[in-house]
Amino acid sequence: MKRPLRIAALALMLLGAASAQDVRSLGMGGLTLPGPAATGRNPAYAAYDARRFGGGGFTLPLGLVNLALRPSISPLYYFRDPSVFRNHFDLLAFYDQLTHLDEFVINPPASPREIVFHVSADGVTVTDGDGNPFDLNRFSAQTPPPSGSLPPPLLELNLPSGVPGLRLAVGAFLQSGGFGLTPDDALVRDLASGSLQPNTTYHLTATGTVKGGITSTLGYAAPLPALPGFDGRVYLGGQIQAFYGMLYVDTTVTGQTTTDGSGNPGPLGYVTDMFYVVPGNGQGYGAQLDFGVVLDYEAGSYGLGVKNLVGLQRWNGHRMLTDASGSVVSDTAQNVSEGGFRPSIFANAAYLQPLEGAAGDLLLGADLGYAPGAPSGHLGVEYRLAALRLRGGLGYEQGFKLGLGAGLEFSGLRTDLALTSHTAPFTGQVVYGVAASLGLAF
Amino acid sequence: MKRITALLTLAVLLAACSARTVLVADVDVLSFVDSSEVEGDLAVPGSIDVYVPDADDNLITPDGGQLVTQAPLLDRMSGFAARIAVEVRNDGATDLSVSGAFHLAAASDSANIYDGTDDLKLAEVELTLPAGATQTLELNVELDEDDPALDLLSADGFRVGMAIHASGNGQAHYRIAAFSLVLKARAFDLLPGN
Repeated sequence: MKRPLRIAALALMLLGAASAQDVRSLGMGGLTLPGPAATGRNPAYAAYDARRFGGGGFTLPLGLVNLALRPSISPLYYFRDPSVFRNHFDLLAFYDQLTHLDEFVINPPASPREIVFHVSADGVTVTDGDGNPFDLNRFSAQTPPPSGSLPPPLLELNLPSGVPGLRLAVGAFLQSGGFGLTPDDALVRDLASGSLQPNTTYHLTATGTVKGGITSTLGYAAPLPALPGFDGRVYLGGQIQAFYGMLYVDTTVTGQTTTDGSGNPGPLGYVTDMFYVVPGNGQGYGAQLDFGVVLDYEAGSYGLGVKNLVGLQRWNGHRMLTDASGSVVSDTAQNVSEGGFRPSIFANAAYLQPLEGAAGDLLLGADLGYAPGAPSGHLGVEYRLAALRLRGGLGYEQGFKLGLGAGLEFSGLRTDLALTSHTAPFTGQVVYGVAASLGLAF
Repeated sequence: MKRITALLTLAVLLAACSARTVLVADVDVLSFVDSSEVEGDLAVPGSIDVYVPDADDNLITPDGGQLVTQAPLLDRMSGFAARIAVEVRNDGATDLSVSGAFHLAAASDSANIYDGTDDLKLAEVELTLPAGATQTLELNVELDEDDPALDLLSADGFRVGMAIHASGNGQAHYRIAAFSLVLKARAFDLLPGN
C-alpha cells in the first residue's frame, strides 16, 4: 500500500512545482485573460495575438523560501534541528505551501495546538486547549474531486507542424482533489456537545485523489475571414487531446470506533479502500474533444471554451481493500471508465478602454468556469499608466479569492507583484500570500 | 482505562498533523474507583499502612495499584502529571501521625508497586492529625519529557498508587477526594530520530 501513496505524494510535489499561476492573474483575483496562455481552457486562443492584452512573466517560486526556512512549513528542520521540527512543524501548513509554490504564504493554516480528552466514568468530553468543545467542522473543508476533463497541461511542448494554425503538442498533466476529512453526523454532533454517547459507532473518513500522465494534442485554431460589414473578428479552435495515464490513486480511509454502554470508545480500526494505478502496475488512456470560440469586437474580447465535449477515460488498475486490523482483504484488478458528455465550460470576457486625457488604460475582465462540482468565477481590473500597472480582483475557487497587484514595464522588461489569497484544504482557512514574477514586456 | 487507547489514537487521526499539537488525556481516576472503596474507617492499632487504589481487595496489603495501559503513545509521553488528595479525619482520642507517598511503576510491576523495584516514589507528604481534626493529604506530581521517571512508562502502560501510613492509637476515617492523571503526548514524537 505504501508505494502508491509514496508516488501520489511525489506527484503532489510536482504539482506544486509546476502549477505556478501567472502573477498578473493572481493580482486580478485569479482572472484568466485572453491570450495563448489560456489555450488550455479554450483552444481558440492558440491563434490569438498575445500582445493584445499582454502576457505574464516567469513566476518566481517564492514558496521555496518558506519551505526552506519557516519552522512550521519546512521539513528540513527534521534534519537541521529536530527540536525545532518537533515543536513547530505542521503538516497542514507544509501541504498548503507545497501546493502554492508560486506564493509566499503569509498565514499558513494551522493544526490545533492542543486536544484534550477528559475521561471519567461519566463519559468522555473533547475540548481544545481553551476548554471549548472541539470543532471538527474546522477540519472538514473539502476540495472538489478532479473533473472528468483533462486539466490544462503543466508542461507543454509545442512541436512545429509546418501548417499554419495546426498545433501539435506533447505535455504532462497532474490532477489532485477530493481532499478532506468527513466525520459522520454522530461524531460532529457529539463532539460539539462535548460528550461521546454509549453504544454508538463513530466514523471519520479521509479522502484524496491524484491523477497524472502524459498528453498529446492535435489542434487547429485560426481567425475566420473578415465578414463584410462586421468589424469584429472571430477565432475558432478545436483540439483532440489524448493521454496515457501513469498515476491514479483514489483513496478513502475510514477510522471507526464503537463506544460501550458507558460511552467509552473501543479499539480504533482503519478501513482502506484504494483504487490505484502506478507505473508498472496498470495504466490509463483516453481522449477528449475540446472546442472554443473567441470574438473580438471593438474594445472587448469574449471567449467560450468547452472541454471534454466528448471524451473517454479508462484506467486499468487495482482496487485494494484493507480491514480494520490493517490486513489486505483483497487486491484485485479493476477498471474504471468514464466518458460521454461531461463537459467543462469556460467563458471569459475582457475589455480594454483607453481613458480620456492620456490618463492611461483600464482593463476589465471576468470569467466563469464550470466543471462538475467545481464552479469558479473571477472579476478583475488593471489600470495602466505609462510603465505602471495597478490591479485588483475577486474570485471564487472552492472559496473566495482576493487579489491585489502592481507591476512595472520598462525597457522591455516587466516585473509584477501580487497579494493573493486562497482557501486552504481541510481547514477552509483563508490564506494570504505574496507572489512575484519577472518577464519580457511586449 | 482502556478508553485512553482509543482516545489518543482518535486524536491522532483527528488532528495530529502538527508536531506542536499536544494530545492530552485528562483522566479522572477517582470516578472509576468503586464507591465502596472511596471512603472507609480504619482502626489504627499503633501503626497501619493502606494502599489506594486497592487492586487486590485488601486495602492493607501492597499491590499493583492502578494499571494504565494500551495507550499507543505511552512510551513517548511528553508530559505526565498526577494529583491525589485523601481526606483523613481522626476519630480517636489521641494524635495520629499520617503520611502519604505517590508511587509510579512499570506495567510489569504487578505484584507490588511500593517496594522500590521497578517503581519510584515521586512525592510524599506527612502531617500530624489532632484528635477530632480533619486534614487532607495532597500529592501533586509533574514530570516533563526529560524526567527519567518517564522511562517507567512503556508501550505496555504504567501503574500508579498511593501508600498511606498512619501511626497512633485510635480510629480514622479516610476519603479519597481527588485522583486524576494528565498524560501528554505528541504524535510526531514517534518519528525516528526524535
